[in-house]
Amino acid sequence: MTGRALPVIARLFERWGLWVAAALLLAAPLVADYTPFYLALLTEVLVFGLFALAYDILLGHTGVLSLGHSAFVGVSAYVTGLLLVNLRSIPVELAVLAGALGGLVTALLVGPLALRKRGVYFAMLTLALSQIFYFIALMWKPTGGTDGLGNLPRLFLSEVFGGFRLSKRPVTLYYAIAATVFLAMLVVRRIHRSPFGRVMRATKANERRAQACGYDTRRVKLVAFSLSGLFSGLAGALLTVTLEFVPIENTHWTMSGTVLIMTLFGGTGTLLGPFVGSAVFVWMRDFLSKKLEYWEVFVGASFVLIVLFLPEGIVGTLRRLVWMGGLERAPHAPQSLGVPQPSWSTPRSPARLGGVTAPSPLDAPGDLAKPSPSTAGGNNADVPLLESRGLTMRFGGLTAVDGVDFQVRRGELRAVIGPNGAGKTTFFNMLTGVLPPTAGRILFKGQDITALPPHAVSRLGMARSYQVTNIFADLTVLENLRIAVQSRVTTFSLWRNADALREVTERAERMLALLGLGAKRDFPAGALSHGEQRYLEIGIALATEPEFLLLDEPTAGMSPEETKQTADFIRTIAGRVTIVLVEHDMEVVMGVSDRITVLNYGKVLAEGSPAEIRENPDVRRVYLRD
Amino acid sequence: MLFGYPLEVWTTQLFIGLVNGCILILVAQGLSIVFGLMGIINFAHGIFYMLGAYVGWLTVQLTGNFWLSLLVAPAVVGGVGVFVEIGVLRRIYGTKNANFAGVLVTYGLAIMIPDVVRMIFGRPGKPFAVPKLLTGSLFTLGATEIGGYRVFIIAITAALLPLLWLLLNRTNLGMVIRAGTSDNTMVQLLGINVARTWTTTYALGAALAAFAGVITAPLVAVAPEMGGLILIECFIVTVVGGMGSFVGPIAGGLLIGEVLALTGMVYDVFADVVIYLLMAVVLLVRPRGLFGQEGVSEE
Amino acid sequence: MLRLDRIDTHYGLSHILQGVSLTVSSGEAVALLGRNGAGKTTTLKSIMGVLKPRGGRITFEDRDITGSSPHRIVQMGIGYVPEERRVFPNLTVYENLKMARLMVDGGRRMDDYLDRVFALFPPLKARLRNRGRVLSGGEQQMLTIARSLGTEPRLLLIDEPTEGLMPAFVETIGQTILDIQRQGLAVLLVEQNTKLALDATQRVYLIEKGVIRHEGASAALKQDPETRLRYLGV
Repeated sequence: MTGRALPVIARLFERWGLWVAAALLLAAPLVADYTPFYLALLTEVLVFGLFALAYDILLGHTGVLSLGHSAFVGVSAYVTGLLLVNLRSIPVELAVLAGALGGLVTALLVGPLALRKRGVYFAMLTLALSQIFYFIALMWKPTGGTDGLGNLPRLFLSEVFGGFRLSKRPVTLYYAIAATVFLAMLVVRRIHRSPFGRVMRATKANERRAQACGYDTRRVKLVAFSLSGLFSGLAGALLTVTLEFVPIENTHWTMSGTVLIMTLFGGTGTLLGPFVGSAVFVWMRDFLSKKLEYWEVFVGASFVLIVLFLPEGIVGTLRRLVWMGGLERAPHAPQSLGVPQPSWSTPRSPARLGGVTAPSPLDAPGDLAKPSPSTAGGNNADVPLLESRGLTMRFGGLTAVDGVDFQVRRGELRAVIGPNGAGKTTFFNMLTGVLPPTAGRILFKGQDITALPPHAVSRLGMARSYQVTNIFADLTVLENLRIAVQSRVTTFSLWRNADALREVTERAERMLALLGLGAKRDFPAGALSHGEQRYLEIGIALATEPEFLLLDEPTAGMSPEETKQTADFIRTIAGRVTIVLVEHDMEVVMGVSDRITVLNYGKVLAEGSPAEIRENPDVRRVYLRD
Repeated sequence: MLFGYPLEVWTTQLFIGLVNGCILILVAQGLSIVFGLMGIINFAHGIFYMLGAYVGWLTVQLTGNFWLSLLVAPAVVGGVGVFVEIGVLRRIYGTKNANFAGVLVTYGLAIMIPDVVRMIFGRPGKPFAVPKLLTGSLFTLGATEIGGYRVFIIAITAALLPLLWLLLNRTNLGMVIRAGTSDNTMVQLLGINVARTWTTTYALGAALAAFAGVITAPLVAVAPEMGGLILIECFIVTVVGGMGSFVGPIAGGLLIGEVLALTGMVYDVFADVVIYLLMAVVLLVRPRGLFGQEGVSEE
Repeated sequence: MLRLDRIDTHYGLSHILQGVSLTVSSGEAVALLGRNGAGKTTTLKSIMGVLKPRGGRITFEDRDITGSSPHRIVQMGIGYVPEERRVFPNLTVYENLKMARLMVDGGRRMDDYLDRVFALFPPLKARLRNRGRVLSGGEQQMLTIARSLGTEPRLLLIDEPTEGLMPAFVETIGQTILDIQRQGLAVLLVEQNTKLALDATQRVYLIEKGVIRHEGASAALKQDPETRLRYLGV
């Protein structure tokens, strides 16, 4: 019973939850019987909740851990406070806005610096840089040092909002703050649902794959960081209004820890979580502290326990239990792909070489394989689509790839084979911009792409699949494909609803059908069987509508049946895209390729048709070494 | 006169910078060794420093013997380190986001333990007297009397560092640590129980921090908040000097110690800001630090 | 001595070994041949506990060692010469060798051991004080074999020892394997150099895509170019 009821409840909550929340917020003072104490507490919970929500933009949605958020909330609090103290007639709304912008500006200062690094180093950088602001607050006279900034004027809302008094009027203050926080929450929610929100989460799920799909993840993180700074700034400004005072403690690095704790308690990636976390923390601070003198031990201990045992937080865990309870998890044993043998798989024909692509039955007007109008050199069959000249890679004393000249014509299906250590993967990594070559050049459509980063290479029309499955495991199967398609349409759209990008979703659905994964549409990609994941792996690359596709051991770890199906699939898509394939399975290689290049010790040993390679005595010698 | 300050002031500050540097070197060595082997940036490191000071204080309270505390503090806190590694850290090795979780968990400890200390010892700091043997000034440097205790700090650091070097380069434990820093799996494939080495290494790091804590105690206030500031300074030292090498923390410690002292000449609080900026510059220009091992610092 | 019984090993979800069974008897030298990606190294890693099999059993001298931790397995008497050689670059040759002796006697009696090492690989003597990273490929290979022998194994797993080495060195390796056998060790050899492998071993298994396809005497396979071509060639 619960198995069916829970998803229903969850869906109801998703639809009406916001209205319920709004109603609760409106009714709260009534419930609290207008007690100033509880109202003040609630106000604070809302403000800290907003701070945690802002923090979660970075942590829960983009997957970036910052330890320097005290800077945003601190700077904004002081900006608002200083404006109010020194320009006594300034409207409070303007002061709050200025504070929020203060947070944004701080983020724009810190972000580009800190984001040059990743992971723990990034966290340390944010910690250190945020301390600079603490010391400014400490040293600079106008901010009042350890005494904090006080002496704020009596605060009133502007005439526009009714001119209500805020100072010492807990009810009005509460409503003003609640309205602001609610609105801010709506904006943040909008951002999370936008195409940019999807890109953020793809970055969190698998940053390198997101780059390979064409997203400049560094810029994505920068924008997310700035947004986080903006809304943290808003929280800081509201805090000044609430407290009518700016304590220096809020700029100290312990504040960064507090917001981290709140976010983790409540649960990352949710809208409600930050507020739950904030409530828990405020409860601990104001109630627990009365019972337990050393309540902070309790906080720290709970934090450690949550990290170890309940990493999704309270709301996050609830959400997982409710949602996942309704979905079947696919078992781990390799399954058949459930793909009926395509009856329209066309055998390879030599006529395909030279730039004439045979139409696939799945092509419809406006479908995936539109030839790119901007091809340098056009469809001229003489200019190779991809070319490497003297490509070399040296690691210290070891030369992995040694002066490789390599050309692939449009429409070809080329296999690259070679014994162990021949340099195939290194070669691939150089082609896709992952490894900068020691020497040599790579030309794609006649353009030198040697020094380009992976996301730029992707945008030019080159995609790859990985030997070790590299999908967005925490996103649904559909989203894996949708985000890849979206890369060609928009990245930084913050306001639209991502689902409103109809064409993007439709293309993703068609790719889903092509891969035969329709039934697993809403499953988390990590729950797919191995074979299905390998298909998805190729699908993500295909969804970016490349002209050129590199497949790195697509049949790795597959059963014989899955291998055959994959080979057929490759044959199917070969019509719409030029393919270079690294494979060890000789049956696949022989059955699928137009031409084969053999590498040995980083050099090209031989190149030719499958028959020629098979007969080649050098190749035989190198493989059998007998 | 040099840049507007008399020479005597310069020499005094340089000397103080040296003393600062010694403490930083000891703490940073602990952090660097742990990071080199285990890949964990231990946010709880400052806690061990603080605990060392408290255990030292307690020892002096109970026995009246300062020299004893120099042995007891590292030993006891090393034991605490063992508990932390086995009880907390082991649970996150090999999990999906181990580095992330490592930061969070050690951060949580860094919040929790000072309050446990407050609970036991009370909020205000504890006074820690300089041992009688080392009180009084030894010599005059410029216009300032240089106390014997500061010289003691320099001397003991200078004595300890070679011992540490010997430990790392002439003992079996050190050899296993060095091997594990480059290839942990291969060490296991030679029949060695790596888990035990990790525990020992973490305890060693904790002990070093604790030792630094107890010898600093007479100079600063023994307070629960001690850990925070030293941790941040220590991070800066390891970023600037580089991690995973023996020389890195030494170079970093001396540099930061001197920068703190010399900018302190100009404007006291300004000193802290300068080292943060210095760290930012180093991270951007030479990410692995002055003497860091390649590949150790990049994510 | 060593028995693998229908081992299933995965790498993530990738089902690399699909029911692999093989045996190595005491004092025997057995070769495991196959193309890239066939599962040879995965088989060795499964034995050593670096990868834990999800199905099947591995027994060594009648003890079940399936999924035990690597250091235990080494202590039980299986040595491993890894594919990429993996000498400790920052340790000297002496220290590399001493690392192997820690589990045996804490590195206290090195002299006997060093004598044995130099008898097998004379060039290492001159390089004793050099760090691992400055050694040539061939010297590193010698070092890693000598090092793995230091753990006093009764069975030695050797993964692609001739990869990236000069032909002259290949002969040395072949000779070394025969020498080791003469000292009573059993050997399981993974190699791409078919000639070397068949010359140095008594039995051979051919593996393809995680499944054993052929088993027989090495001498017999030497006379069977068709089978070799089928599973190893292009």
